[in-house]
Amino acid sequence: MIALYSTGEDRVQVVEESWRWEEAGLVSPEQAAAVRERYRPELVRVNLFIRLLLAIFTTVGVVALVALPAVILDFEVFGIAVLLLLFAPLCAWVADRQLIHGRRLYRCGAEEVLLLLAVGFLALAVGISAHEWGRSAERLGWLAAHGIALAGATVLAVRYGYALAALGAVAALAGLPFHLVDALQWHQPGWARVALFLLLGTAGIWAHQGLVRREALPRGYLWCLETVRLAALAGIYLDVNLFAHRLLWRDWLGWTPAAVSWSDPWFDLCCAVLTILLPATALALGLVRRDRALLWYAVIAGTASILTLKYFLHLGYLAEEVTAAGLALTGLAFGILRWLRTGADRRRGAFTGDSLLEPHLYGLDAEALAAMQPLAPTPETPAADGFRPGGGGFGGGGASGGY
Amino acid sequence: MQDALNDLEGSGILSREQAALLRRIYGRELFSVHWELRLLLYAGILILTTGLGLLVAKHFASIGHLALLAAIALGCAGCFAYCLRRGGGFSPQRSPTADAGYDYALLLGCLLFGTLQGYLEFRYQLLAQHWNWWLLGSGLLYLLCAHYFDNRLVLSLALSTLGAWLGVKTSLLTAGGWDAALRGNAIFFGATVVAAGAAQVRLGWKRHFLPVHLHLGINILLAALVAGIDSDTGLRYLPALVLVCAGSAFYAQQSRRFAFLLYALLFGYLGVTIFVFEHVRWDTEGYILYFLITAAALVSALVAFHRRFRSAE
Repeated sequence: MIALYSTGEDRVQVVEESWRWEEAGLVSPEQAAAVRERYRPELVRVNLFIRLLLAIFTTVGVVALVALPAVILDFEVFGIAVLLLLFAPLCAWVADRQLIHGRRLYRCGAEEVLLLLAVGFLALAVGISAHEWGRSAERLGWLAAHGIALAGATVLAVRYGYALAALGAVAALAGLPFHLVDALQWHQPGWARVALFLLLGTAGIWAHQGLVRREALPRGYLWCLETVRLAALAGIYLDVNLFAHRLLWRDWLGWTPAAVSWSDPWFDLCCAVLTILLPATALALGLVRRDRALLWYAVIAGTASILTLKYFLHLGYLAEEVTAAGLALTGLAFGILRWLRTGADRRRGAFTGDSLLEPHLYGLDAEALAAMQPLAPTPETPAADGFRPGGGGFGGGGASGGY
Repeated sequence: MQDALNDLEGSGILSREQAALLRRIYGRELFSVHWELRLLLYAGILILTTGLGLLVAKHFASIGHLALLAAIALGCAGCFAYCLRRGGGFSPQRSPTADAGYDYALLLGCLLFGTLQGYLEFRYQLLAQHWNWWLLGSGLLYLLCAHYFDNRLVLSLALSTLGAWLGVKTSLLTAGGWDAALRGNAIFFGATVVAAGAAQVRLGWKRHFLPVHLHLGINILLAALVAGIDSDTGLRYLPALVLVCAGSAFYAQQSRRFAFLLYALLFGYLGVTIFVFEHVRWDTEGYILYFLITAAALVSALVAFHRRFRSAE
């Protein structure tokens, strides 16, 4: 990561955490203000909504700027490719030199979009330039564009710690085997699926290993690794869950079972076992390592597994199964909540059902959460004499609190 | 974070107890599963109500209508009884939540009430072609529940149900070309929701409901006005759109809630662009120049806005 971000992010993190401490009632507003003053960041940040607006209008402006000479000079494919090749480094230079290093912008929308556009323009230039050289060349051209997109997203994630770029890199990586099969006309979609599974598995394990030393990682890398791990786990889950799998491959992508070479009973059994094992393993790892991302994955994937149980085990009819699943999940959640509350200091071991700090999602601040508040639980009311573990009340449901 | 905590403790900004607690949280010696359990609870209740709906649809012939109706009504009454027993009664101010299950029991009760109404209408057709009045009834009940039990989730449900009632009523009553009537109703509804939120703040009654009112009301109002610009009488909607966008941006600036700036600029830009493109005939270069100039102007304005208000803080 660039030195500006790796050194400046620490101060940004402390300032952002101070807001959470204040909202959770752990520190007084005066203390929080003192923290913010002491750790005043050198990097320039903007509010999330202004960041979104800057990203949208920068995209509109830059695309119009590229389109204008192309229309005025009536460029054909080759001319447009040259134009894109000129604008790609220009966008990267403006973002990196002028905005990030010159004006010290940190996740302000404009510079992020310019860097993403630079990668997109480069890939597009390579992809469209092969259009006039025949069908085979065009296929290879788009394959090269795919490779450029993958490499570019990886560079952005590594250099600037952009989680969105990391997500793009995982998506490009997941699509690569299929693009290769299509471009090289192998007609072996089954092998592409195996490659996808292996790639996602490797990426997921690599990211998980990287997160073991999370304390030493810059915040941007932490988000990137979390994104890679969750995206890989989600991809693997969607591939092994038979319901999602058939919906994706048969109904959406239109692949017939004959095209997918594995239709043996053991294949379904493997999928069933993995559909149960993935959330269960994530839950176990999440609890042992107290890893929030894994716990969220376990809750969402576990719920999806229970809901799609019918595709593996024919226990009864859909209505009964869904009702039983709902009862089981609700009962489980209530049971755990009660169990945690009845422990000493309202906790069991390290775990508590009370809220300690507000959730910290990527780039979201309290106001962003307020915008989606109907689903957001009530925050803790700040205690007059600071936070005391075990003394909080439950919010729940998002119904009655405010940010 | 550990280094920063040591520094803050050393400089006297944080007390030793505060720093120790924060160290435990960041070191994961104290780990909250608050959100994970709530997610599980929310998913469970949604799945349960879906399953119950499917169960009713499947077994209503064999179980008997009255037995099913009684079971749903009993469940609904049970949920409301639980909330009445555990809740602290009505207060015009924000009330503390009784326990973890309180909000979810209320949500389940409201959803079961909706199922009960739907089942009654499906089986006995009590209101026949006037079935939309069920929506009004449930919307008003949800509104009452939201205020009595101090619940923002049920408030969103109430406002959405009332909006749906207006929409369904308009589409049922108007024979043809009902989009203009629908648009008018949406504008009326959006303005009423915003006005109701503002009135509550002035009266000092459930002030914390204001964000729900504003987010929902402004979005409906702006969406209806933008849709109006695309109609034959677009010229009439443009000043109203500009006015509402300006109001939303002004509120964003005053309250430092920049989500309203986002609504104002996105809807405003969309509306003005539709209007310009419908009333002006340019070459392709002209349209591209329009996007280039407007985008550059808006980016400059946003930068100036941020500098003035330091939006990150």
